Amino acid sequence: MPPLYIGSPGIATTLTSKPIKAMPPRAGSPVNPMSGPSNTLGPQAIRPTGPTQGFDPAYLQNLATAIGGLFSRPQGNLSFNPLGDLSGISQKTGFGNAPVPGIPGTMLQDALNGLGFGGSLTTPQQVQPQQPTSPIKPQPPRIPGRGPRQE
Amino acid sequence: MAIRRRPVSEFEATAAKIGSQTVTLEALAGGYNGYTAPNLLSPQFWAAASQCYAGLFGTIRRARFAPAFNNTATGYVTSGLRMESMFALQDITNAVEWVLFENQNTSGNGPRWVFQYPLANFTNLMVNTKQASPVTSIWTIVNNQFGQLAFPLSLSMLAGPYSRVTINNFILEANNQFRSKVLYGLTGPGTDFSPFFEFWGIDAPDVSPSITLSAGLTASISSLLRTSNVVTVLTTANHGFTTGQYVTISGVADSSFNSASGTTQQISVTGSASFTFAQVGTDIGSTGGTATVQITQTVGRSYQYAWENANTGHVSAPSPASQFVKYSNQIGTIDLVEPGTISFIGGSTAVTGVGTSFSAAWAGKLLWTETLAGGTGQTAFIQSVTDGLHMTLAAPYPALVSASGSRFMVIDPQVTHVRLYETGDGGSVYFRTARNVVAFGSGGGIGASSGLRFTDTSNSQPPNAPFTSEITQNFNVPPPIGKYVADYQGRPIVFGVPGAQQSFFYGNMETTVVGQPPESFAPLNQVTLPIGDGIINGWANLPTGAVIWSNHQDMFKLAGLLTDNTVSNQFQLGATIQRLPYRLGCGSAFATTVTNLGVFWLTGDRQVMLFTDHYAPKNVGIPIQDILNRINGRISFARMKNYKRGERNWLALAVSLDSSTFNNKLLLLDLDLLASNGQPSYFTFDMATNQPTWYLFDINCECIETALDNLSQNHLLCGDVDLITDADYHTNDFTIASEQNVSGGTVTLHALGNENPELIKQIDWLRANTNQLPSALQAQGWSFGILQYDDEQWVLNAVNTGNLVTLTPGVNSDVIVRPLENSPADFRLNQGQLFAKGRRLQLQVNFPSTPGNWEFRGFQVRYTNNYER
Repeated sequence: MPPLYIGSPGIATTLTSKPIKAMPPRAGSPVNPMSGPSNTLGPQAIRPTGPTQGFDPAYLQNLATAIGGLFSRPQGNLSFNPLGDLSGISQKTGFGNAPVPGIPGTMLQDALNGLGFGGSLTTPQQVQPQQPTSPIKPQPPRIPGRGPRQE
Repeated sequence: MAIRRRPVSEFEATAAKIGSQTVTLEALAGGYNGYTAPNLLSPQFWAAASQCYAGLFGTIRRARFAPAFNNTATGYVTSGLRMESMFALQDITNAVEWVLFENQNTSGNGPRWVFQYPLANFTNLMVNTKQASPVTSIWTIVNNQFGQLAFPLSLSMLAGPYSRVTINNFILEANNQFRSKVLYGLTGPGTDFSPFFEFWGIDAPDVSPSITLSAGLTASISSLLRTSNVVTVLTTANHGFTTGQYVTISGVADSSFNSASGTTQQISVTGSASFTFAQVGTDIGSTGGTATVQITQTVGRSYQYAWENANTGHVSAPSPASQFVKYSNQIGTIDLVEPGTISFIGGSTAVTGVGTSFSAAWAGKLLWTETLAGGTGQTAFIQSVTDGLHMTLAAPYPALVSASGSRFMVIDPQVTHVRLYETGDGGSVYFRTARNVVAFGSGGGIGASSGLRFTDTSNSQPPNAPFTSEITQNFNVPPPIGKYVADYQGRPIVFGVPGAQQSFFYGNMETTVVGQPPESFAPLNQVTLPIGDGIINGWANLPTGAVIWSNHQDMFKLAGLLTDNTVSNQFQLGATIQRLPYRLGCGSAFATTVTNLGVFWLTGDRQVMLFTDHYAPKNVGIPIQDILNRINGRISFARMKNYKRGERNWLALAVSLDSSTFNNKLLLLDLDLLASNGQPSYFTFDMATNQPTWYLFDINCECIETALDNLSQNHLLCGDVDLITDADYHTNDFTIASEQNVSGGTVTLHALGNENPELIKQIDWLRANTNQLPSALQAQGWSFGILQYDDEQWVLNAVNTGNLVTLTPGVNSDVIVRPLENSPADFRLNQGQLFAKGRRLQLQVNFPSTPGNWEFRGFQVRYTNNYER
């Protein structure tokens, strides 16, 4: 059975008058998410970091994907410890659930602020691996798609 | 029906008297009792017993064992290793009963096996007809063009013991090493319908889609004609469109042909300058206008995708979202690839990456490579990942096949389809817009048949086509790998997760709209219990809620409706967990069983408890506490099952005693007698007039399982080294070989004379009743015994062997049957050299060891109280 395409591949690849800007490679990262033609947005991976604390790699990967799937990745790939402090991928919030105005945390906020995927004013904090303090993570990870992390 | 409870007067009003006493010891009751003071008990109670159980009307039957599976089963390769877990299942679709079992075999055919029960031939993998088959394949029905896909990881990851639960026709498994589910009831290649396993849940794609924009297409329309709700469009020149693309029609003289705002039409190309699309309207024609295949967005459109297993109807959580793509008269090509490129050479398992970010989570997944030199259609599994740039395949590509600088993707082999989701212009909700079939063969190019490429040509907005109402399933996250599984209210429960030993994780219900809830564990679906340094070590469900134990002395009750936790609803408002005021833990998560009387479990203190949730837990293992105290450090491997067949309603507990390295004692609690003996509703026992009835079987029973055969008869199966024994064999039951000899079948009754040990007693005669003709007793191998106790020389229970007088039918009695007078079952004592004398006298039965239905029914005995001393 052939693939069910929305459309069909093979369309002429003439560059438009508004090419997509390439993103700068992330320092120290082997990945250049914008590799390829300048009208291509490359794949951007999410990876868990930090000690496994006894969880299997697939679970940590799924957890990281679930947590960080909708957050800005201005530097391409995103790596963070899904069992640790998540401030590295989401911005500080105001009181309660209120996000701090003007600082996009998700890609939708980026887009609504006219940033597109060509760049972002925000730079995710580099998350360092954390030492386990307890076999049980005291604060369960949050779910993506609900805005910035709630303190 | 025999009376099971003794009148109290029997123990209080026995007068000491000189002279002959004749007693009939029938309706023998009580099972093994190593606890109660002997002088409290009647001689109609069992004292010690082995390899026997209570039959109807107070008889005593010797156990019968027969092999249900052994090394002669075709297809089975012996390993010399002990079976560590066993699981029986019924495939209703194919009307077949299966038994899965596991050992620690890490080579050859691996540790996992399946056979049909009762043993029968079945076709395995289209080729061989066999009775047993290793279970090491991961494959799907649709993607079976590669046949059996060998397990790509170390076989040690599949080793037992397993904990399992069945929900929605999935057998969900935990062995602390691999996260798998067993599927059955499906027909595989050929006539193979044997169970097989896949990953439990589908890992979400770990990378966002790659998007390439290109210019859209525009064509001027010369004419349009709508007939029977189909519009045929002729263009002034070659349009360059492709069937399946979405066009926007505008500027047509008859505006009914124009696309409404936010909608597009999917076309079928009928010629280089013509195409058709469906549109409801009157039959009419028009001219002019423009047809465009291009997208323009103000804010932009973002994409996600998810894997799907069409065989199970499950869909994974989505990939990371792409950033918002701001189209301007463009179309998008969406490629599903990992970042970077890989290279490898044929014959080598080493794969190196450039710009890659290999993940340890890929072990066991399939590697798809965009371009191959030297051959296409090849597949390979990932065995391990060293770092972000290096990984190892389970088996190399053929020698002439290689890749250099090739894009790649990593796919769960259970995946059959991939679903694309996208937002509206500046939308935050991802709707499904397309679904492709996934093909695993590498080297065919991403745009050919891999299914890993979508092309977005639609300028429409939700809810118009191609947008559907299906949104991404953010909570379809697979569970963590744990040691044990259970269920509660239809949700699977995982506990024993190494990283969270005090927590249990539970499956989705409300948040999985598309896909399989049992395969999904929302990340917040977890509860941590306040058990300090303990670990959750037991789970059982009662009608009033779930009972949860730690391995220490903690006991909790979970009640109410468990619901999915999300950020917006992160409190279990419908569920409560309360600590029960009992200092009782659980010694083995495998040793909890719910029965019609309540839940039984083996505590960490080596007690067998019963909890009904109406009264405090009752210790029903007191009669065998001396046995339970001998359970060694392998208590966590103890197993418990409820075995019901006919008049049998037993609690079976397999334990490892003394220095044994495997479960070697099967303890059976008669639940029907427990219910009839205990004070109503309380299950309290005074241990003199009533007690829990336990039977002891000496049988290797590292794992036990109750399995239905093809006649819906239940069986109690015990796993050993390359052997499964039916521990309650009935004549005409299935057996792969002859019924086994059962040695050591014996029962010893409580003593005559406990009520007046000051009197010296002498047995005059003794008659034994069995279900056999007395003339056959000698040949069958029966014998009887009298243990003589003088309290100064052999103190009852301190030295429990007494001074034994053995009575052999036909040797110590007449050989010939003389009706109503003598028979080989009648023993005349106090004559010649054969006499039995003591303050207390215990009667004993030794059953034949040969196969057969041996039943003892009672003694008639006369003894004389000679004098007081």
